[in-house]
Amino acid sequence: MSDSLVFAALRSDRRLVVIEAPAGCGKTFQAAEFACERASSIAPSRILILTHTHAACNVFAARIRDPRGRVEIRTIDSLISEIATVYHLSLGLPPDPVSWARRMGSTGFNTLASKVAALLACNPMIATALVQRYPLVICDEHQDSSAEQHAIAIALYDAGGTPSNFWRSYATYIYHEELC
Amino acid sequence: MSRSISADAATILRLTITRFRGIESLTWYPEPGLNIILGGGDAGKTTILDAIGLLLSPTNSTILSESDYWCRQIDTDFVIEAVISLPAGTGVSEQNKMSWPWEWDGKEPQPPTIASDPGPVSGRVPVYRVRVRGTSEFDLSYELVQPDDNIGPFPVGFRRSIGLVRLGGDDRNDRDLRLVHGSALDRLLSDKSLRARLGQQFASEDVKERLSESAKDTLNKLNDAFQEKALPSSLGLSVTGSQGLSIGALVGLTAVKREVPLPLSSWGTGTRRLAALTIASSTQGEYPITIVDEIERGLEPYRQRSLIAALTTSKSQVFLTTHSATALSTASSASLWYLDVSGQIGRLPNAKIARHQARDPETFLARLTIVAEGAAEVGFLSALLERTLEQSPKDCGLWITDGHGHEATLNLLEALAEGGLKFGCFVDNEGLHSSRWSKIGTKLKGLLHRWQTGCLEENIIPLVDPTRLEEFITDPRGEETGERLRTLAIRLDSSDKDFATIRERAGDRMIQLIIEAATGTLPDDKKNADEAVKKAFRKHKERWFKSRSGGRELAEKAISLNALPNLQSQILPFINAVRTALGLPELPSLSL
Repeated sequence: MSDSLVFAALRSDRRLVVIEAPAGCGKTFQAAEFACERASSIAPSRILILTHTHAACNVFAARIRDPRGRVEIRTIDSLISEIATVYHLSLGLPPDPVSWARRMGSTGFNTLASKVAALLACNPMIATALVQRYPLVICDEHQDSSAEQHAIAIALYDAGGTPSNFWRSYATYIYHEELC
Repeated sequence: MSRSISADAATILRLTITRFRGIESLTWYPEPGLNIILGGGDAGKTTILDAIGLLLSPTNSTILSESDYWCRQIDTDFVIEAVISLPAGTGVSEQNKMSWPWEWDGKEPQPPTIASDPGPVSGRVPVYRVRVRGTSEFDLSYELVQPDDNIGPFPVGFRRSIGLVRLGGDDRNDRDLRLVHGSALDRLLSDKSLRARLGQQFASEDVKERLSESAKDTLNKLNDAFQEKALPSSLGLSVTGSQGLSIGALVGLTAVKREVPLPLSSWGTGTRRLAALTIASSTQGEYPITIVDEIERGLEPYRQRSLIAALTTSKSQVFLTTHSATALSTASSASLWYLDVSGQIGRLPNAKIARHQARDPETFLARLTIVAEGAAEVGFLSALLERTLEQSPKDCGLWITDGHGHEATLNLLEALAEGGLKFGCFVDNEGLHSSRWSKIGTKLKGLLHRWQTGCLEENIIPLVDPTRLEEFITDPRGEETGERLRTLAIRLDSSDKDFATIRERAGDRMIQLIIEAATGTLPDDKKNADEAVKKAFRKHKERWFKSRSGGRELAEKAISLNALPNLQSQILPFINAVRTALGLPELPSLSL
């Protein structure tokens, strides 16, 4: 996708925009620009940028000028951990699910993510609360998501898909790094 | 019965008050829409409204006092908690911290569950738990409880975005008619930079120029003194804001009267209240929780009706108290609640109480109401309680209402018991509906007085000193004595209507004869008589005690003719239950 196509796609009225482009094409740059542009108009709501690594969080944080604090940048795992902690009773987990996941070894975080995905699937009210807070979600490097992480992104998209619940427009933007 | 929860308005689904003012503990499940709280004085109706007001208070400047703590015990916190539905327009998603929803099961907020078969479960209501805690340091702590029981803040901005309109009992309350932060007018105009612009405007006003010449001189001298001490100089005067005093609070709505713009706050209570409500309901897409104390205040009946109509059609959840029969009769679709003397709040089922409500509205406005089976019981009990309470029953907040017969009384009491309410009850025992009565007895305990058998007359008359029956029959007003003797003579087929003859002819049956006449019992040998004859016999009771004054006469005679000592074991527990409910100590015996 060319820069101008990406620019136009981001500003289209589609609820879901998937950007596929080779590395070094300026996707992160464009996403950050777009978030800055929307940050003021989206108030009092917020923009949520989900990345896979803390390094990617730092890249976004360095590029985003957000004097009103409308943009939240975090890893998708930290979102999953927060949901798991708040709803640990629903998930049948101890009060600190992150430590629990660590103790479970290599599959711990995947198990956590799949439990959270199931919780969101059964209880649209949780994803609805999230998309009311974040009507715009930007998923960075979405191709790196596990199936569970993808299910969580889709739960957010679905929650925004019932406009009667919500008066603002909602969009999930999924970035896809094409293998090139 | 329950109404569906609004998709637009903030709705309190459960309110819990612990140790706030006169309420030690109260849990209430109000309905969406209009909720009317009834109950006697001092029961705590206003405390409930104040609790909601404090929980959603749009300011942080509330100052607590000792009396806000139950029994003034300030070393233990008071807590007011609401489980509240907060749809999108209430600002729940716009706070600094994420508020995670709980799931409402109709009684409790629960962590949401994961169903065994995948896919969304419909019909689940997301709710939030918010509370305010008054600490032993007289601090207010506003908290939001997350589904893992972690506690986050419930800040003033959040409370303002939920919204509260308060038509208080305070005559000077005109908050919503001013541009105070979070007021109805502030929310409606929603001009956030106005205060800053006004501030600039005022700051540019040169007050110094308006000083008198001598005052200007004084200021100039002060300027010199400042210069000498190397303080900032070139002194002037202008309007400056200060902490706690917002310029907005000085800006109030005005309206023109006789060509002069006057602040709306100078109009009468009724107009101010209607104005505040109109402002609140003019804000698009906002349905603040509305509390109205004593809706009748300052409003003529026709304006009460129009205010109730406005509140009934409003999308907001509304809480109001009233002592007005007019307001009550207009609010036919409202949810009615009764706060009883023990601090329990229960639903009054509109349909089942409507008739009694129209007949004797004071039933629902007293501290403690006793439902007596008929007029005689009302009179009897009034006389008895006048002698066994230190004050007159009405001054204690006690109301004795006529239940209009056995069936109607039972139905009314069942409706009241359904709401878990504390009422007294004084009835006959006709041997009917035993299981229904025993259910009521379980709820009312000592406050239910039901004779072991029979009715009032059957229980009192046999206890009268048999040597003083002539006195017993004599009507103290001198009107019915002859008629009473006639009803006895007829039953003896006697043409002589003097007491001595009747006494002699009745012999051992004298007491029984008086009971039969006083209750209008049909003699066995008249069972097949003409309807007119039977009717005449049944009407005998009208000559005796079947009225309020008759019941009162019966009580007074029971006292003067020494019937009460034998009645003590039956009546005293009831009298003591009434005294306890009114906060009076029990009596060791009936000494009248």
